[in-house]
Amino acid sequence: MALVRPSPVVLAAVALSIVLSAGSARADVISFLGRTLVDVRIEVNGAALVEPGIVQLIETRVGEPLSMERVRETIEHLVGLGRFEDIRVFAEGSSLRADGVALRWVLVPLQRIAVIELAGSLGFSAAELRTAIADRLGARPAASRASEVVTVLTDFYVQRGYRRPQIGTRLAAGSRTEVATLVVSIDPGARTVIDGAMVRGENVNSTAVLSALRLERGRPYDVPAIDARVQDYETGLRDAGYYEANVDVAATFSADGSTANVTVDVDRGPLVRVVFAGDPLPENRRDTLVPIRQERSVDLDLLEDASRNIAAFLRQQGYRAAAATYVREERSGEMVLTFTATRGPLHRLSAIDVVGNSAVADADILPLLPLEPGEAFADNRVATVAAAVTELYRVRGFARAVVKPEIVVQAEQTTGDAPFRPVTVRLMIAEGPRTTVGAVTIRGATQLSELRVRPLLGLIEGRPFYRPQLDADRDAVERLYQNEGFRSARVDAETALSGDGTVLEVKWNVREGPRTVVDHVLVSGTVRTNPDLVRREIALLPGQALGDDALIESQRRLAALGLFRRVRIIELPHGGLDAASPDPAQADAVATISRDVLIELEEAPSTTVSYGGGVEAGRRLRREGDQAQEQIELAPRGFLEISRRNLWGKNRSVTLLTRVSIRPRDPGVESTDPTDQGGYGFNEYRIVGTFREPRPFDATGDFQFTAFVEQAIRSSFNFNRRGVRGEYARRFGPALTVSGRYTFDRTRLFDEQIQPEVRLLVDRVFPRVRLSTLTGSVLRDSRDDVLDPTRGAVVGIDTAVAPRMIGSEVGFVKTSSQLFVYRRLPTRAAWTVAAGVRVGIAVGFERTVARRDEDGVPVLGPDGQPMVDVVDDVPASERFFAGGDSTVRGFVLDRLGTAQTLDDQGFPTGGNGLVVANVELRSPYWKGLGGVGFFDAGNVFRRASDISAVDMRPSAGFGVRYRSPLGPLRVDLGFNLDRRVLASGARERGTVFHISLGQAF
Amino acid sequence: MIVALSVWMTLAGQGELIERTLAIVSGQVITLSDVRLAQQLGLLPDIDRSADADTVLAGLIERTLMLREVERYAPPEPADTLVAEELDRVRSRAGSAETFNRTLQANGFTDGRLRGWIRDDLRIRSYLSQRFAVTAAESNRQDLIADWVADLRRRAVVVVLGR
Repeated sequence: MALVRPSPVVLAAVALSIVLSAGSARADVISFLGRTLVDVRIEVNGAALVEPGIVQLIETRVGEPLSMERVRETIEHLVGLGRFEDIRVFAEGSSLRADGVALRWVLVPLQRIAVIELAGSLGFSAAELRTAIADRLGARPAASRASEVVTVLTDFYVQRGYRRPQIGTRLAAGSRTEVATLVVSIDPGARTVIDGAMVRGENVNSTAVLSALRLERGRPYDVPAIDARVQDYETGLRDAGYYEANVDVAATFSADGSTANVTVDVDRGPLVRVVFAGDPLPENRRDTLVPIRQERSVDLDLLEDASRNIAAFLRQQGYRAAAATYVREERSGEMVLTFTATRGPLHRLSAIDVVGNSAVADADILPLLPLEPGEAFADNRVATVAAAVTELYRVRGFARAVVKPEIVVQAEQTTGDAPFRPVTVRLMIAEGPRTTVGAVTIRGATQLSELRVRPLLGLIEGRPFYRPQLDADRDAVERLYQNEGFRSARVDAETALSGDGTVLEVKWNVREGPRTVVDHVLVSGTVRTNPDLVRREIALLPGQALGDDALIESQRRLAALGLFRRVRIIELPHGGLDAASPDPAQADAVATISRDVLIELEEAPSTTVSYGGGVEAGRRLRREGDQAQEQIELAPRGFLEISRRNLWGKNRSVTLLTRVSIRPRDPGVESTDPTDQGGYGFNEYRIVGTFREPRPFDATGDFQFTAFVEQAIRSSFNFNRRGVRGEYARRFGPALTVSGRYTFDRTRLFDEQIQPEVRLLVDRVFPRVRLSTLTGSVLRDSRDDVLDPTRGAVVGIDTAVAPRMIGSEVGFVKTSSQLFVYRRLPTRAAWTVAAGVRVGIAVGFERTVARRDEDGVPVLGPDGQPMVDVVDDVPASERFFAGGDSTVRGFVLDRLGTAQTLDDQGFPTGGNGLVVANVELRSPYWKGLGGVGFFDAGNVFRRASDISAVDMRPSAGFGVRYRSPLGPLRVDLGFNLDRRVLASGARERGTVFHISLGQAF
Repeated sequence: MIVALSVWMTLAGQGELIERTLAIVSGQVITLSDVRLAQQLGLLPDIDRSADADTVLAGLIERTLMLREVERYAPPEPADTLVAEELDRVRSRAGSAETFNRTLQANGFTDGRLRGWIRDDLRIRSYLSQRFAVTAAESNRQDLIADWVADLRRRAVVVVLGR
C-alpha cells in the first residue's frame, strides 16, 4: 500500500507522551491480562456514572477475565455514541484478591459549542458571522474545533477586505458540562478600500460599468459583493443578446494593503442575431429548436445541436432528406447566425406489412404498428416499430431474431396541392431459433441456502430466455444478499447455449463475501425522547444482519414519528472479520463484520404555535321578513393552535386548537327580545383540546382523547355543543384505517328559524339534547394527493349508534358511506375524471315523552291520564343537510331538500336520508390555471325510506382552479338545472357562485 | 500531557493507564493500542517500525481517512489467498507465534480483526491503483495521493487528543 508521509499538523500531536507511555504501558497491560475483574467503575467528571444506556455498553464485567479486546470494543461503542471525546482506562491490582484487577473507565464528555458570543467591532451582523461558521462547521461544533472557528472567520474577513483581522477565542463553561460558550473577540482591523478603478474593453461605457459594479473610490473592497454584481452585470449583457459576454475583475493592492486598484476587463462580444433561411420553420418552434435565447449561449455544441434539432424536426414531418446548416458571420459588430433548413421532398407512408413471422402471430404484431397509411413518413418511427417487434420476439425467447425494415420510395405523386413520394415499408423478420432456459445451477450460495435464492429467479428451466430478465435476476439475488448483510456480495451469470441455439443453461456464481451484522444499536441526540421509543421503531437488531431495507425502513419509521428534525443512521465499523466457524480449520472462511449502528437524532421543538386567519365568503340563507333569502356573507376567521409534543419522551402530545369566526346571526323566529337584533359577532367558535397517545399498552393503533366546545351558525338554526370523545384508530397498510370512537356531548339549539308548529317534535321536546354515541369507521384512501388527486379512490363507511341504554336522551342509528374514484384519462394531456357518490341513512329509535304545557306541567288527556308523545326523529345536529360548494353546487349551503325537508319559508329542516352524486372532468394545469366541468345531483329526504332517484335534483356547471402552494384555489359556478317554485311562491336561484380551497371532492 | 497524566495517576495510586483514545477521525476512533500494534507488527507499510508514535498516529489517521473514502466506492473484495499471504508476512515480522499472539492479545486484537485490517489495506491498495494510475511517475503519483489525502482531511472532522 502506498501511504504518503503524514502531514506536519498531525505530527504535532501526542509526541513524547505516547513514546513513553507506549513502552511502559505494554508490560503493565500484559501483567493485567487474564486476571479476574473484581471491580469496574465508570466516571464522568469525577462522578460515578450509572446511566443504564452507557453501562450496558461496557463489555468488561466483574467476574470475567480482563481482555483488551473487550476494552477496545467498549471504547468503540462509547466513541460511536458521540457523547464522549476522550476515554481512558486504568487498571490496578486488587487488595482483595491476588489475581484480581480493578478497572476504572474515565469518560470525558464531548463538549459542544452551544452559544457563540461575538465581541468587538464586528463590521457585519452577528447573524452573518454565525451563518458563515455554521455553514462550515455545523450548528453545534465540538469545542475542540474552536481553532477552526478562527480560520473560518479569518477567511470571511479577508474576503471582505479586512486583510489582517485579529480573532481570538475563549471557551466558557455552559449551563451543562456537555455544552460550552465560545467567546470570539474580533478586531477586524483596517479595511481595504478601492482607490481607483478602470475599465478595459471595446465599445464599453466605463461609467456605466463602474456604476453597475459599484466600484467607486473609497468603497470597501468586498470580493463576494463584487463577484455578485459582476455576475448580475454579465447576466444583463447576455439577456441583451451579448451571449459571449465575459467580465473579469482583478485588483492590485498598495504595500500596506489599505487600498486596492481595480481593473475590470469587459469583453462584451458581438451582439448575436439569429436568422432563419431556406425552407420555413414554424414560428412557435424556432426558440425550442434553436435554444440560444434560453441557454444564453452560442457555444459550438449548442449550434450543432440546433442544426440537428431542425433536421430531426423536419424529418419527423415527412421530409426524409431534410438537412440544416448554420453559418456564423461577423457583420458590423454583430454576429449573425444563419440557420438554413432544406426540407427536400415530402414522403408519405402508403403501406406497411410484415413478412417472415411464423412463431409469432400477426395479431400479436399488428398492435405494435401504430403507423397509418397517409401519414408523414419518418425513418425513426419505423425504426421504433422495428425495435418494438424485435423486443416482442426477445421476450418470447427469440434471442437472435432480426427485424429489418425494407423501405421502398416510389415516384412522386400529387394529392390535392402537395406533391409527395409514397413510401412502402416491409418489416422483414428473421426469427431464428427460440431459446428456452435449460438447467439453472447456483454455485457459491453457502451462507444463504439455495432454497432462498432460487425463488427469486425469473429465468427458470423451460421458460423462454430473455436477456434483460437475466440482469433482473442478478439484481434480485444481490438485493437479497445485501438485505442479509452481505454488502459486498457479487453475483454473476455464466450462460452456455446449445449448438442449435434452442437451450441455454445458466450457471449463477455467487461470491458472498463477509456478512455485516449489527453489534450494538446506539442512540444519540435524545434529550426529551425516551430511547426505548426510538428502539421500538428500529428494524435493526443486535446480532442480526445489517441490511439495506432494514436501514431504510428504520429511517422512514423514525422520520414518521414527527419528533425529529433530523434522523441519520450511521454505521460505525469496529472489530474486524470474524471467522464464521469456531473450527480453526475453517478460519479462512471469513464471514462476519461487526458494525455498531448509531442513530443520530436531532429533536424537533416540542412546543409549536401556529396561527392564521382568513375571510370566508359565500351565500347563506338568512331570514328577511318571513322568508329565507340567499345572501352573500363575509366571515373573517382566525385560529390559534398550540401543541406540545413528545410528552414524557413517549411521543404523546397535547394540542389546543381555538378557532373563531365573526359571522352574523339572526334572532330566532320566536325571539321576543326587542334588543336582540342579531348581527355580526364572535358567533361561531370552536375550542378543542386533544391528547394523543400513540400505541397505548403496546397496541398497534393510536388513541386520542378530545374535549371540545363549539358554537356554529347554520341555515335554519344555530347550536352550541360541548362534549368529550375517545378514539382508537389503527392503520392497516398505507391506505386502510379502521377506527372506533365514543362521544358524549350535549347540544343546545338556539336562534331557530323554523316556525314552532312545523318544527320536528324532537327539536321541540329536546332543544337541549344529550347524546352518547358509539361510532365505527372503515376508510380506505389510496389517493395520490389529498388536496388535488388524479389517481386512486376513497371508500369509507361510518356507522354511529346512540342507544338510550348508554346515556342518550334520544336514540338513533346513522350510517354514512362514500365512494370517490379518480382516474387520469389516457390522453397526452393529463385530464382527470373524478366521480363519487355519498349515501346517508339515519333512523331514530322511538321514545315516549310526557306532554307538558308551557309551565312544565304534564298535560292530561280526556281520560285523566298524562298525554304522551312519541319521538322517533333524529336530533337536528345529527340530521343530513346538503347543497353547497362540496355537495350539489347548483344550490347554496343546506338549501337542497324535498318539500318535506324545506319549510314553507325555505329553511331546511334536514332529513334522515341523503344521496349526493358527482362527476367532474378536470383539465391539466397550464401556468397554474386549470378548469373543470361538473355535474352534481342529490337530495335530502325526510326519511331513509323516501330516497328515490326520481327526486334527485340535478345541477351542472364549470369552474376554474388556481394551483396555489396551499392546494387548488377553487371558483365554481353551478347552475340549477331544475329550478322549482318554493312553497312561499319564490323561485329557486338559477346560479350559485362558490369560492373555496381544495377540490370539491 | 498523557504521560504527565498517566504518571500522575500512577503515582497517586489510581492505576495504570492501559488504553485511551488518541484521535477520532469522523467518528472512527484510533487508540493507544492501535499505535502500539502498528509499531510492533509494522502494519503501516510506508512507515518504519522504529518510527516514533507521532508519525505512526499520523499514518493511522491518514489510513482511516482513505478507508472512509474507499468504503464509499466498495471496491471488489480481495481474494482470500491475498489476505492469507499478507497475514503470513505480518506473522513473520512478529518473530515467533507466541510473540505474535501475545502482541495481538495485549493490544485487543484478534486474528479476525487483523484479517479485517489486512482486507482493508488491500482494498485501499486496489482503490489507489484504480484512481492513481501506476503508469505515472512514482513521485508524481505520490504527490497526487498526498493532495487527495490533504483534501480528505480538509473535508473530515479529525480530533487529535492528548495535546
